Amino acid sequence: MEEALSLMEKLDGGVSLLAGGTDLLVAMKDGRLRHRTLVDIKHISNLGAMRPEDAGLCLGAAVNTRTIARSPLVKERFPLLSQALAVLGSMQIGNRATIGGNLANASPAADSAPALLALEASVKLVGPQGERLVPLENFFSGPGKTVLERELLTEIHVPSAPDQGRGVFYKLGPRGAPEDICIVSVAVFAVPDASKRIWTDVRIALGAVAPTPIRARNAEKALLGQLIEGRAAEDAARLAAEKDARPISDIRGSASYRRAMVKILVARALEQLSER
Amino acid sequence: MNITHNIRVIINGQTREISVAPNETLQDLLRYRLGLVGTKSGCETGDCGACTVIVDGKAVNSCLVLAVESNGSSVTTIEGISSNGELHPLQQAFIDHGAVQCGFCTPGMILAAKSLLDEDPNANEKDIRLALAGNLCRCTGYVSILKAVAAVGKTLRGGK
Repeated sequence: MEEALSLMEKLDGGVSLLAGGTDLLVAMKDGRLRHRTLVDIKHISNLGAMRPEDAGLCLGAAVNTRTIARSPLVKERFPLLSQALAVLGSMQIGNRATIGGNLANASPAADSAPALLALEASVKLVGPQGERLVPLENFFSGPGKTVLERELLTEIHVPSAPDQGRGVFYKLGPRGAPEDICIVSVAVFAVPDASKRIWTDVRIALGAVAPTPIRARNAEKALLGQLIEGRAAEDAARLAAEKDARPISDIRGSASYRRAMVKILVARALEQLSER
Repeated sequence: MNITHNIRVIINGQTREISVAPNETLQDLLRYRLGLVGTKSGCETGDCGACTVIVDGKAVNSCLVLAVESNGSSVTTIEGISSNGELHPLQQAFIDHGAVQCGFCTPGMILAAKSLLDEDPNANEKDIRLALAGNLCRCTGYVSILKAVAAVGKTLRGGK
């Protein structure tokens, strides 16, 4: 760890950190990344470990995404995360791609981000000045940009989630296969009250419809304390599409298509969660 | 800059000590320097699966792994899965089910399937489909490929 940090300091930012390499090597090959020093961080001790933490989870940044998706611990405690990571990429990609790399790469379409946002995860950043814990929602600052300042993302902390809470993840892509870069992705984690009539906590996260993965706060507000079987779900889906999402048009889809899909997927997620 | 790294890697059971360039991929090392051309070079961006090899028991795209990263690892390519002249059960099943057309995707398909079945001999059809989703067959002979892999899975489970 010290060695990696001092290299980052010494080479004055001219360093790319290599973990799984599934994004980095593609960037190197197509010339987006040149003449830089690579520092392979995946063997730094503890970065490859995954452990329960109280009723939550601590994920080392260099754990590969398929290992997390298939972990019995994650399947039991955070099926939403397992579901999202299972479709992050092909088996071959999942065997290399790391959870920390998927986040630090800061793609608005990062498949791990919506689920982790909905689970209110935090990331631990370690730098020469010490370490800090940043809520994932404040970690991304733009497409490909994060708040990292010559720091390493070392751990992802997922806090315990209410027992009654349930989650669902949808990834919409051209092939409908894990390899897709999503056009829109939606993760919802929702908690009903004891009578299962009212939402007491709803967290909606959206991918690929804003400069960063985001929480759909307007939609969430429309659901809080509302009847599960009421009209609130419809309102929330509309707000997510119209107020929360700020999509652009690109080769994968137009802005208007993305908004339309946000509305449909949020409504579908809420309907699915209300059925249980 | 002519930096090289000396790595020690087990390839198909044989320990090799090799000097590699820092930007050399595992795929290029296997194909162009070791002559293991069963590992195919397709998209070069991790989308097609033709370059799939098994590193420490896990299927990976060798085009997205630097050779230097494989230091200390064990790598299996298509050349390394038959034993004593006997084809691997997956290789035989691909022949029996007519799952080989032009053959370009075959090594990657077989290694992806092997990695899945080694990990989970009880893999069902959905598991197989998911595990092979990263391997493209441009002849589109997917049905025969699925049948071949499922048949080997059943054989491993001892049923028919």
